Amino acid sequence: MAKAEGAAMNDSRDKILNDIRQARDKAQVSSEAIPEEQESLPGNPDELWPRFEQELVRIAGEFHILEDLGALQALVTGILQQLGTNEFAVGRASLQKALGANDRPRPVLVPETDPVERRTLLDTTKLAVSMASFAIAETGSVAFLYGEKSETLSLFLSECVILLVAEKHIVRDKTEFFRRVRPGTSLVFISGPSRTADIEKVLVLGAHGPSRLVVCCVRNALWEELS
Amino acid sequence: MNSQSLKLKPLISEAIEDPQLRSAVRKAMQSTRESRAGLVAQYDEWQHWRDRAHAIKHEVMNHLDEYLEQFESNCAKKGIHVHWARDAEQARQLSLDLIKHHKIKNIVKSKSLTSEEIHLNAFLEKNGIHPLETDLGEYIIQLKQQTPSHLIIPAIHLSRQEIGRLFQEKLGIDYTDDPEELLQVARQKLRERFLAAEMGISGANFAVADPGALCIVENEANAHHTTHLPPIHLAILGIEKILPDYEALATFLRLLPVSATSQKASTYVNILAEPTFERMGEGAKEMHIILLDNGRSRILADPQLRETLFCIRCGACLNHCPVYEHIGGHAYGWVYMGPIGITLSPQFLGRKEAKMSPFLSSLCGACYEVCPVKINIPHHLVRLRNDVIESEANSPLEALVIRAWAALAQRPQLYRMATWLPGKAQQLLPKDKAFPVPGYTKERSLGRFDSKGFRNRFHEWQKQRGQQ
Amino acid sequence: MRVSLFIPCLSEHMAAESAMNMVRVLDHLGCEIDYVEDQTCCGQPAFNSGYRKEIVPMAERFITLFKDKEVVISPSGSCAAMVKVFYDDLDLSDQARQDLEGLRPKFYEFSEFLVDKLGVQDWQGRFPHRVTYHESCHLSRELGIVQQPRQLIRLINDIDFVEMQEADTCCGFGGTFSVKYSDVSVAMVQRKCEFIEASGADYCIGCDSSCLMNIEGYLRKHGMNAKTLHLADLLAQSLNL
Repeated sequence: MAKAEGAAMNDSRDKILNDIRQARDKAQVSSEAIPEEQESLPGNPDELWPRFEQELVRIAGEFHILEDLGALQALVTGILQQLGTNEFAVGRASLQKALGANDRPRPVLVPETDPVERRTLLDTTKLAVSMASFAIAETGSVAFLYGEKSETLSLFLSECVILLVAEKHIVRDKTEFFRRVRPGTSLVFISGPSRTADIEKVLVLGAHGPSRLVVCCVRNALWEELS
Repeated sequence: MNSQSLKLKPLISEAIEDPQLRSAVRKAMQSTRESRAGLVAQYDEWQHWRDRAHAIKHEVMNHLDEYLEQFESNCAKKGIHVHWARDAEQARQLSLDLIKHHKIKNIVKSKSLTSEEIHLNAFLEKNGIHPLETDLGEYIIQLKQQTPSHLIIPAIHLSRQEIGRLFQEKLGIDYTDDPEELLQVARQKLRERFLAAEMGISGANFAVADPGALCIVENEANAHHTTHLPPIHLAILGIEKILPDYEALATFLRLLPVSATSQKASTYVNILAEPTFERMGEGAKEMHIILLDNGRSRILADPQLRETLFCIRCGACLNHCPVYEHIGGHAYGWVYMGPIGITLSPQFLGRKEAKMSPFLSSLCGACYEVCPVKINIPHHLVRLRNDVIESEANSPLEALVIRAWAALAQRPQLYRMATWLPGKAQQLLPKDKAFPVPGYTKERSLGRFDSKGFRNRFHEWQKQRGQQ
Repeated sequence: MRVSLFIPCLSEHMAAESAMNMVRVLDHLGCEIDYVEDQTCCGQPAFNSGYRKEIVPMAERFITLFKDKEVVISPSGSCAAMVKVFYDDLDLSDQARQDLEGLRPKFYEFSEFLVDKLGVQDWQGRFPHRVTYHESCHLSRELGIVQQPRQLIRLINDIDFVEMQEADTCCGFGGTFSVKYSDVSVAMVQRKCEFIEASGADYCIGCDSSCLMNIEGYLRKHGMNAKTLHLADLLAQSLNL
C-alpha cells in the first residue's frame, strides 16, 4: 500500500486507540473479577474414549479403534470399495509407506504434490487419511494443528476423511486442550462431517466439506509405527 | 454515522400480513428454542459460563486499547497485516485498495455480518467486483438479491419451494425443492469458485489477542475454503471481537454453538494464527485483518450501554423474542435485528434516526434470560427510550400527557377527580361499550371502567364489617 | 399482621373487583388491612415509555407513603417489580434511596406473600373447573416468582390445573407497546389465546391485571370460550368470599 495510505492508516489507528482511551476515562467502569474455569482434571483415557465415541456418533461421525496396521489397512480398503475408487491421499510419508505397502494402491502424498496442482487433485480425491493431534471427549471433536509436517486441504476437499488420533492424545474438553497444548500455529477443531440447516432448518450432511468423517483411536504402539 | 432513518411501521405491516413468512419463522424459532433448552439442561455449569463470559468481556472492554495493541503486535510478528478503519467508508476503501493492488477479480466470501454492516458487497459491485457468498443461506439470498432475515439462518424466511424456484431461475437447473439436492447444486457451483478464487473475504467470531489469531466457527466448511484456498485472505471484524487468550476462547466456544445452533460444538472451529502457504504449501499467502470501529468506541464511552458491545452475534435473543417470531428479520430494517438489533440501531444510527426501534419490544426479558454474555437488553431498551425522550424525538402530545399524569399523581385529590371523570363519561356510552383506543381496540375489547373504583368499594367493605 | 395495600392505578379503575378479592383473601387469612388513601401511581407506564426525571417526584412520594409500613402487598407483579427493581434506575434523593432500601424487603407481590411469608399450605376452597396459568414477564423474570402462584392454584379442591404451551411467553401487552405497535401486540396475544384454547382450560389464571385485561380483551372480541381470572379472584371465588 502507498505511503500516503500508510500515513492515513496510522491516523486511523491512533484515532481509534485514542477514542478508546478517552471512552475508558469517561466511562470510569471498575474492574470485575473473572470467575475461573473449574480446574479440569486430566481425564482417564479409558473413560474419555467411550464418551468421545458417543458424542462423535451423535454428530454423524464414525468411530473405530485400530489395534494394528492390518486393521487400518482393512478399514481403508473397505471404504475405498464403498466409494468405488482406488485413489486416496495421505499427509505423511510414513502413512504412505504403511498404506501403500505390498500390492496396495499407493496413496498420493499431499505434501509432495505441487501446491498449485494440489487442490485440483484433492478436489477429485474421494478419500483422505490424516493424522490429527488430539481428541476432545466432551464434544466428539478432533483438534488438528497445522504443524511442521501436516496438511489440511485433504481434510476439507475430499468426500470422506479418516482422522487418526493416538490413544494417549485425548483430553476432556477444549480448556484442557489449550492448557496442555498451548498452540502456536493455526489449528482447527473438527466435529463430524460438514453440514447445513439453512433451508427450512432441515439438516443436510456434506455441505462444502466432507460428507463423511471417520475418526480412529489408534493404539499407542501403532501410532509410533505410523509417525 | 449513517443518516438513514428507519421507517419500521410499513416493514412490520408487510411482515404481519405475510402468513407464509410468519409460519416459517415461527416453526423455525420454536424448534430452535426447544433444542437449545434440551442442551442447556444438560450443563450444570451453564450459569457459571455465562458469568465468566460476561466478566471476560467486561475486562476486555475496560482495556480494549491494550488488547488491540497486543493483538496487532502478535499478528505482525507472524506476518499478518493489521489495518484500522475508523468507519464503514474507510473499511470499504481499504478493502477496495487491497483488491485493486493485487488486481483481483475473483472473490469468495464467507458469512460476515460486519461486511453487511458496512455495505461492502454493494460498494464492490459498484466498482465492478462481484464477491460470491459461499455460506448456503447467504448464497441463496444473494441470488434473490435480498438481505438476511436472521443473524444465523439468513434465508429462514424462504420456503424450500421458493428456494427451488430461485435455483431453477437463476442457475438454470431442473426444479427441485429437496434440501439435499439443492445443497449438492450449491456445493458443485461453489467448489469451482473456491478453487479459482484469488481472494477470500471473511469475518471472524473472535480475535484472540494472545497469540494473535482469528477464530471462525462454521458448519459448512465454506469459511475454511474461503480463508485457505485463495492466496489472499481478508478478514473484517469489529474491535469488540477481541478476547484475551485461548482460555477465554474456550468458554465462548461452549456458549456460542449452544446458543446459536443448539450444538455442543460447531462442525469447524478454525483458528487462523498465521498465513501458512510458505511453510505448508497450502493456506493463504497473505493475511489481512481490518479492525473496524464504526461507532463502537463511542458506545464504549457509556458505562451502561457498553455492555451491548459484549454481543457475540449468536442469535439466541432473536430466537426467543416473541416480537421477532411474529415479524421476522426484515421488519427491523437493519443488518442487526431482534432484541440486540433494536438496542444497537439507536446507538449506531442515532437516537433520532432509530427512534422507534427501542419501542419495538414489550420488555418481556426473554432475551436477557438466554443471552450467553448476560446483556440486560430490557434495561438498555428503557435507557434508550429515555435517550429518545431526551433528544426530543418523541411525540410532544405523549410528553404532555405523561407530564400531566405525573403532576396529577402527586396531588391525590386532583388525581381522584381526574380518574373519576372517565368513569362518569363512560355512562354516556351504551351499557356494555367501552371507549375505543386507537390500535388497541381493533382486535381487543376494552373493559369498562369500574363503576365505583377500588377506593369506594373498599370503603363499602369496611363499613359492612363495621370497621369504620 | 398488618398489611398495607399497593393498588395499581390500572386495578383501581379497571380491575377493582380483583383488588377487592385480594383484600377479602388477606382478610380471610387473618391480616389486618391498611389502605393508604392518597396513593396514586408508582410511575411504571411512564418509566417504560422512557420518561425518567418526570417520575422522580412520583417515586419519591410513593416511597414516603409506604416506607413505614410493616408489609406492603401488590396484586401486580409488574408494579412490584417497578418498586423493587427499577426504582434503582431513577435519580432519587439520598433519603429516598435509603428509605427504598428499607422498604424493599417488606414489599411483596400477592402470591409471594401468601406462600413465602404466610406459608399458606392448604386452602379449603373449591373450584371444579379446568384452569391454566399465564406467567407474567416481570413477575417471573424480574422477581423470580414462578412456583408460588402454581402452588396456590394446586391447593384448591377439585381444580383441574393444566399447563398451557409457552406459559412464560409474553402476552404482548407491554404497556404502551400495545398501542405503539398494536399489530405486533395483537399477534402476540392471539398466540397466547391459541395456547389457552389448546389447553382446554375454561379459565386462564394470572397475577397481573394488565396481562389479564389484554388477554381477556382478545378472548371476548373473538368469541373464545376461556375467561381470565386473577389469582385473587380464583381464591376468593373458591371460598365464596
